[in-house]
Amino acid sequence: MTRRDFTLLVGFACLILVIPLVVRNEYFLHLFILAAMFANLAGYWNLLDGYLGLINFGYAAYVGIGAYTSALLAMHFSLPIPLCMVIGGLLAGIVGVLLIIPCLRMVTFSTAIVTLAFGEIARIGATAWTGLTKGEMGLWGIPPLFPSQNKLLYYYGCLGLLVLGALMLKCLLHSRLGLAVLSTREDETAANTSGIETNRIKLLISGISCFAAGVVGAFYAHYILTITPGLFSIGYTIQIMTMSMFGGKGTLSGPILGAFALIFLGEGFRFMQDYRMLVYGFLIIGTVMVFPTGLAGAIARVKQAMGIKRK
Amino acid sequence: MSSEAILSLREVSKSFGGLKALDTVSFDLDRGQITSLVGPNGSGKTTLFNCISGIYTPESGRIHFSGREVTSYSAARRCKMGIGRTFQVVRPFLKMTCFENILVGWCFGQEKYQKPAASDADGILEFVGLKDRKHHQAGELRLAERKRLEIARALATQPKLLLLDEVAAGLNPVEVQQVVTLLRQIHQQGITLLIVEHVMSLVMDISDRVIVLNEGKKLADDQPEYVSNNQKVIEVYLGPSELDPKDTA
Amino acid sequence: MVFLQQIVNGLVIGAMYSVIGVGFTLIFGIMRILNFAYGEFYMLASYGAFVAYSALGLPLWLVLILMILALFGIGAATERSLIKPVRERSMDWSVPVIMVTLGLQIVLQNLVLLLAGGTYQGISAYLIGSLDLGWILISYERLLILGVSLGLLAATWFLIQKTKFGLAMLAVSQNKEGAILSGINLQRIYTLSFGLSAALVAVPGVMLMPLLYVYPTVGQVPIMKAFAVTLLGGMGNIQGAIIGGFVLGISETLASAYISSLMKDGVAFAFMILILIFYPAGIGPYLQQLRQKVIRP
Repeated sequence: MTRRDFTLLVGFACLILVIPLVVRNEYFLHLFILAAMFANLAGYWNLLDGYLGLINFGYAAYVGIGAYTSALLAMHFSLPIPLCMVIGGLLAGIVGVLLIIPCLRMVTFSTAIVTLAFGEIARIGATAWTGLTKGEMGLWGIPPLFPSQNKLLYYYGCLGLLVLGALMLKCLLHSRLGLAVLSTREDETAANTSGIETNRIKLLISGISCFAAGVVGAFYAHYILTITPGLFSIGYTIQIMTMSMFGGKGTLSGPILGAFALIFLGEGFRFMQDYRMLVYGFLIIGTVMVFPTGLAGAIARVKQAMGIKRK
Repeated sequence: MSSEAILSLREVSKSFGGLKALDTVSFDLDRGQITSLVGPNGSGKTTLFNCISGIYTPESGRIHFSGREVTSYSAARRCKMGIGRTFQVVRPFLKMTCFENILVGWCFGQEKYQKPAASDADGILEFVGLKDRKHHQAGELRLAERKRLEIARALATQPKLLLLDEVAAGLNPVEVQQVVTLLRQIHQQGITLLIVEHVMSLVMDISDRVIVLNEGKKLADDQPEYVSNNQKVIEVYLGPSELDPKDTA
Repeated sequence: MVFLQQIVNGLVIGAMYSVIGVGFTLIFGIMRILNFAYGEFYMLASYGAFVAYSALGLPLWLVLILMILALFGIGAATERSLIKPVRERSMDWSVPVIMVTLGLQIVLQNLVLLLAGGTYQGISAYLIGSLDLGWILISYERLLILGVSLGLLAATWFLIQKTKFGLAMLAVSQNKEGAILSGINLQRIYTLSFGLSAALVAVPGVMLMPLLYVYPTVGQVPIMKAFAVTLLGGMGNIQGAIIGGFVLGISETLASAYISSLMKDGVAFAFMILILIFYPAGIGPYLQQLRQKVIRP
């Protein structure tokens, strides 16, 4: 990492670490927490889509599964909350893997449709299974992760997850597994004949990505303390996807940038709340057509240009 | 199946929809041989390669490699057992460097994973003559270099049998000669070669044995001189003729 | 006979599903992309039909023609302005194009939501009255829907089998490079096919307006049916889509009548799950095998 990269990273880290300490506005902190959560989700979505090339259009469903599982376990069995979160993640991960198994034999596009359909089915299921989930009314009275109401704790907790996750992803991508993932995306057949069991890679990465989604969902449940089946809706998947794309698919920093950018830009244009989805739509089109490398790519180009100017 | 046979096909058939691409093909390959697989376009050569390397599963018949039946094994597993392969339309990992391409083969294709040392990769790169392209992206390489990279990647998997699909296609005569030299060097290391080729000079030059396929069936299987004089083979390539083949020579 | 009645109703809606499926699977077969904005094309046609028929009082046949032409234009324009640039940027354009159509879907849906508001609009029916055949009662409305659908399917079949354009589409869907080498203008085929796909889904948009009503998110219905029918029939398989549409229509009607009306939408999803477990390639290959067994027993 060059010195300039490092400075930028430290700068960004300071920003997101220190500002919440300084600005004690509750709503502002809430935004930071949301941004950190979405940063996590966008990052793991990116692992699946940007790095492996597997699109899962029902991603929000795993967030929902983790949230509901953890909440219900904590409410009915009074298990320690971190344990509930992990179990929620595990269930989400297992479901994710199971769903991908039949998709392995299919064309990419059938996979896209199937994952989309699953997301919808999960949402309908969560709404209809009122005995378990209380349906549209939602689940409330979820025990909080931190006993105190201090939002700062939640923020740093989520940030901790983010840093942990980012480090893990970095290690993963620089390891043998990372090489296998990239090869699978480049050319699956050539990867297979070079000794990579691409099916296993897909299952593994799906498991990891969905597990992480479930954990974040569980975190959300124990933060916001009320959840509804709306959590499963495709709107969230699209948000996550947009953040990942806008920030820069296929990079580590991209999704994080994208998440923070979109959450805060969304707030900055608060009068545009009604237009939010419309803006996301335009962003998706714009990103694909005009700047496919996203924010991260734009920053890299700016750095390059500045470097040339200096010389 | 003789004890020397490294690869053994028995009645292998493969259809796509209504088209029978391979029809009860059987043969044995002996260890250390160089065998060429020839035949007109569409005769099933690449399909046969795909069945041997594990990309397709034959609908009937059996394949044995190194004494084990591999008909149901995945392509990755067969690679680890020692079947390496290159493709008719070259497909190295374009966005990765030459070094990384070889790394993939080394890390995943061997029977037991060995931590790669820089010298291993350098050795293979030097062997195929790509040492100075080590950190260049595969996408930047010329066709002849990409072919050598694919061979290098396959070699990194420590194959016992190497399947080469039209490795001389698209190369000028100088480059073809370079490939021939490379193949001989690979052969000297004890690797069995099965090559699909249209460039007849290469086939005649290098092969111990030639197998001819036509419309999915094995037509001939013999030493090069005998196959090139085989009436049926000539007809398949040139069309039926009433002339005595000796007159046209 | 209630059962027969249900079958007939199922056939009617199934015919529309077939049309929806054919338009969707056609584009997949030719361009290898999923068009996420497909449902929104339906929605635009529905709104257009509502305005033209209800507000302007135009006759139905004119409304149909206008919407078919309008959506053809919109589809072709979408291809040229949004998809073509993405296509030409890199070899690996399938996924970015899907993303663009997804973006378009969101934009169209929310634009209409903002401009027209979210209230449900609609009319009760295009035709009133029914035909009493003794065993079954079939409304003129339903007959009209069936007639239009079958006519459209026949016209599409004719287009594909008997015209040069259809032949070109077939060629592109089977072998892109070969088609180019044969002198087919790939760009033109893409643009025209996309327009055709939109024009096809405009018809259900108009005809089903009394049934499904008109509101910004109505596009979700046809796209889900399109997914289910396409998966059923095999991606890119037109005959499969036609049969799949009827199968879905009849199954939905039967499920609604005999199990519960809430199950209706669930049937599409259930089909999708069953297919991915047992027939990931759809029923298409089995159709082909069946056909071969018939030809060469």
